[in-house]
Amino acid sequence: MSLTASALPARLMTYQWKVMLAAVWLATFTLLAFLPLPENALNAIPENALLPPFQDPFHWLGTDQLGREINWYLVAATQTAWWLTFPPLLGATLIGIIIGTTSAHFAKKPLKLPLLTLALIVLALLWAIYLIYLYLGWVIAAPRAMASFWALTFGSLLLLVIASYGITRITSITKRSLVTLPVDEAAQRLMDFWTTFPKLLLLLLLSTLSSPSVMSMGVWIMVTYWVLPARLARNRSLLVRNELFFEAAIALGLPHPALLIRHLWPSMKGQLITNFCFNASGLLGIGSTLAFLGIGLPADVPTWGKMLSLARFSLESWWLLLFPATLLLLSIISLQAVGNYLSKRNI
Amino acid sequence: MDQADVTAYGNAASSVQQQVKADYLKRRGLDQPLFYFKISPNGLQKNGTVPTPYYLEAFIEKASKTHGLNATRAFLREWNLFLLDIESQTQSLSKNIALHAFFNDWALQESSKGRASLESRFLLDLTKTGQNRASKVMQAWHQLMNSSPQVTDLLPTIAWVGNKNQYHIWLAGIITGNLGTSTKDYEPVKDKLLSSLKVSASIALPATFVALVLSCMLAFWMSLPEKSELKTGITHILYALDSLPGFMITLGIFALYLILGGTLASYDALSFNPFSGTILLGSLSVVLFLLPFLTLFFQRSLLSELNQPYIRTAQAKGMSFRNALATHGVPNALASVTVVVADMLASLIAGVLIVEVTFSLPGTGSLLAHSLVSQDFATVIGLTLSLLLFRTTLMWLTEAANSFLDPRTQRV
Repeated sequence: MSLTASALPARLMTYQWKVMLAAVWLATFTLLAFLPLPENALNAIPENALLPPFQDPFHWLGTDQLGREINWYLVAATQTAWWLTFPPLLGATLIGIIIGTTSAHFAKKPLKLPLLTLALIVLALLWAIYLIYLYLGWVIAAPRAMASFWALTFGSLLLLVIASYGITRITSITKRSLVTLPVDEAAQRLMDFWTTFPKLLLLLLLSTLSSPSVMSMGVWIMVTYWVLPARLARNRSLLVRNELFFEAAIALGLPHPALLIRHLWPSMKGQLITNFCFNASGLLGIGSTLAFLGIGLPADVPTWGKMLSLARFSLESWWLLLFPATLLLLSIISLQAVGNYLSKRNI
Repeated sequence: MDQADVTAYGNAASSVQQQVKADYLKRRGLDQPLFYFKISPNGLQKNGTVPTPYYLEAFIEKASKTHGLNATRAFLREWNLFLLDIESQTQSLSKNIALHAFFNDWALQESSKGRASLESRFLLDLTKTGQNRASKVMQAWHQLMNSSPQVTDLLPTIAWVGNKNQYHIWLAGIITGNLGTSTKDYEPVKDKLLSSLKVSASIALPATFVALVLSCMLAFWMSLPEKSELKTGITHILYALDSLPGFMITLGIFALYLILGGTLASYDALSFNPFSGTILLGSLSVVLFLLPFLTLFFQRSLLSELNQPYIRTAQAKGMSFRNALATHGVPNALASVTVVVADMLASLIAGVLIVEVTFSLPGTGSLLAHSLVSQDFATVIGLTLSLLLFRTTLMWLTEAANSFLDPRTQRV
């Protein structure tokens, strides 16, 4: 940050080999995530329990307390870590961008809607929720109600179309009684509220709302991690909105998606990707902490955290502790190295 | 029926199970409606005016779901008339019971094949009674089986429940300080919280104190301008510690403790000693969580004070750099630090949780982890609420402390 322009390239050169190593490991990490496991690779063979590593060509990383081979179990745990870090974080970043730019869009002029339209939207949403509840709670259990259910759904859809057509016709009503919706204000309060709890605690509490599975954990990670990207996206797009090129783009009549992709995204890309790297390294730590505590994931999903938590009961078999800890640390440090490199390059 | 239920209740008839479940719900207050109003489909409304006997409850729900409310009511009308006829004549009791049992069995039967065999037996039993009404009941049964729910059955109805609902009772309890009882061991949540708080406090309070003092001193020393190998080394260690996940630090200390001859003897709750070995180790781990973040933050805010004109003025008047920083820099830096310290204190629970789970100490963190795993929601909610309370009071205290430490904020 205090680097002068002339010193910058030299410093970057010394960073290069570390970053290269980090990138190589991250690429391996990603490849491992898609490696198909051989059949029966994770089977427990109790008579082979706790074999030390590097002594037997068949169990070259040793076996754990149930006689599972550590090498395959590590690969499976690495896959879980990858799938629980990158896809959910990508989803969280997307959610953040959408919420952040929407919030920034309504920052200067709040959303104004005719009262009737607003009422219709609220009613339609409530009705949709009721229909979903009906489908899940009734129609799935009793297929005989299917015909009546679809009759009800299409009937109400028809009513909605007629009502919305009616509202657009009666312009005298829509012109009057506009309601102001504080979208930006609400989004910011929501972000503040979301950060009251530390992320680990929030994830712990959220994970009780569903039965433990990798899928639901991914969803909860998305729900937890959208705030920082949203704040970044909001700040960036508020800045860009004042620029002349953006005004020119609006004057040219570009549609909103094009504005977002061609003019907003390039300016927030750097910060978002840097933030992604740091977030991912933090998430790896938090994800393995959750697995260590045994919360949020089913007991049969292999994870680094669970390996470590089981290893603490048999510390004399050091290989159970060393290998997952090394992989976890390697991934965290690599992501931080890449993040540091990117943030230095951005300046 | 699950294997666990079989061992608990034996292979009891389904109606008995139903009754046991209903009794449990009533005892725990879970039979009340959930909220002040209830939105339910028209076809699933309970007929409040006519009390339905136990053996019919499940049947009515299932039949109105699969065959519609009207058809179910029509069948029940016939069935009640038939019952009157039977009761007026002396009949063998066992046959009646078999007829009654059919309804519950039918409602609980998952497979359509099983239901069909139950039905055929029921119809056979009906004809065996030899009643005139039996044929009418059979007719009504066939009609019921052939009808489906109507659109009107699916329309929603809103019913006002009033104050006798679970939410109201729970909220009233919370406001009067009653957090309910744990669903795991039926102990009051408040007692559990208080006893666990003692352990957590004896881990967290000394750790916070030590971390704050140590990080203040470290940061002060590190922001002095003289460069040394030790300084860069410590900075590297702090950065490394900051990027390690907390549980790995704890595991490392745990491993060291075992290697150096510690024992895995379980924690003795009766002879509670705030300075026992495991608690001190836990405090040490918490210090290691807090130290890097706090030191690096203190250092950053001290560095931003270094270039301020008042430091230069103090030096110009003859103060040494060290003294100028201590008497003028530190108080100014502290003012901006209080908010961060409060934030850190509020999130301390996450760190304490890891320590307590690893060292098997019965504090709030492990209480939270265990009640999350065993889905003991009363305890989880009690813990969350007290955490929120803790956080809110902390925020108030910070504001008060800030206006005390930094008089500039009072005037605004």
